Amino acid sequence: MARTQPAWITVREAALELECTETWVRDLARRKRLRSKREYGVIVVNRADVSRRKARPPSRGRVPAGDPGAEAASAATTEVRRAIAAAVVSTGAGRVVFDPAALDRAYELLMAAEPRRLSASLCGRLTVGTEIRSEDYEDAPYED
Amino acid sequence: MRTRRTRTEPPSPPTQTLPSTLYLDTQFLFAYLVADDADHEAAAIIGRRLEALVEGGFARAYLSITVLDELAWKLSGVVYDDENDAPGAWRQLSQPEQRRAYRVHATTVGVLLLLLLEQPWISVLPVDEEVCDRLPLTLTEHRLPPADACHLTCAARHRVRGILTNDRRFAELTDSPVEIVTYGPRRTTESR
Repeated sequence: MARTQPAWITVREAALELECTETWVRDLARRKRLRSKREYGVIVVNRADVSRRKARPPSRGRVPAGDPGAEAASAATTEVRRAIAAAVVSTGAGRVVFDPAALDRAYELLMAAEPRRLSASLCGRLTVGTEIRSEDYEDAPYED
Repeated sequence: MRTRRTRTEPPSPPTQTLPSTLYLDTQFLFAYLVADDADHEAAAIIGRRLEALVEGGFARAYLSITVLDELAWKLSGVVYDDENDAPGAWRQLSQPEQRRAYRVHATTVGVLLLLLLEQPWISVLPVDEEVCDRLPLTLTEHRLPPADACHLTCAARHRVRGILTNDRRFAELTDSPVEIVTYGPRRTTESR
């Protein structure tokens, strides 16, 4: 007799399915990105929602109709996502294999599509004028 | 007689592999933020790639409050050296002087941490009750400094697959429950 899969799965099962942490799954449930409920005191999430999320990356939100700027931004974001996906050679077993050169080009597209991202200005923001290392700056003294 | 034909295939591009979930160690984030760090160029490259992978939904990058705590102190040293135009000056301070200097630069450091936390590609892992419960065992088993033991415990508890760091203490671990992922060659070859 064929067994049907349960419609609700545990947070741990969902985390395994989505290759993310249980915390992340709980956060998705809290933000209503996944339907969830409590069964015998344990949080379970909807299997179909998990499968849908696994099948495609989450959308960045709806584009307001008739807003050319937003539509252009959405098209650019779609192009970025396509470029990133094209740079990825394979995924599985908790690893992602990618073409570094193609991914670097995708990153440039991402920065062009989302100029308000601060990562480019944050990276290397501090300087002291000579070569240093993290180890040069001791950990905080805890005995106070 | 059948002749053996060799097929010429276009060379495949070199690939790179990363765990799909990575814990960003303090050492990595310091190198990412500080342009003069010996690992900065390598950290910037892997940071950009990781950001793109996270954006595409192929990876996730995490830090924890322990990372922020360590970063706050180390960055205040960098800010102190920069503002006094004297690299290495921080190291010459006594601990009470360092504490006073830290208070002076706390706002600058706080803004930096805020900007870091606003990065859409970086998520925060909670240091929860289970992390606390497991920490003594990690300290006993791996004999790491307390903050590094916190990182390892937090990453393991949340089943993060790799810790991104060039920290030699992590690199020397032989029985880590989480893969230690080093990144790129240093700008200079060995320690000063």
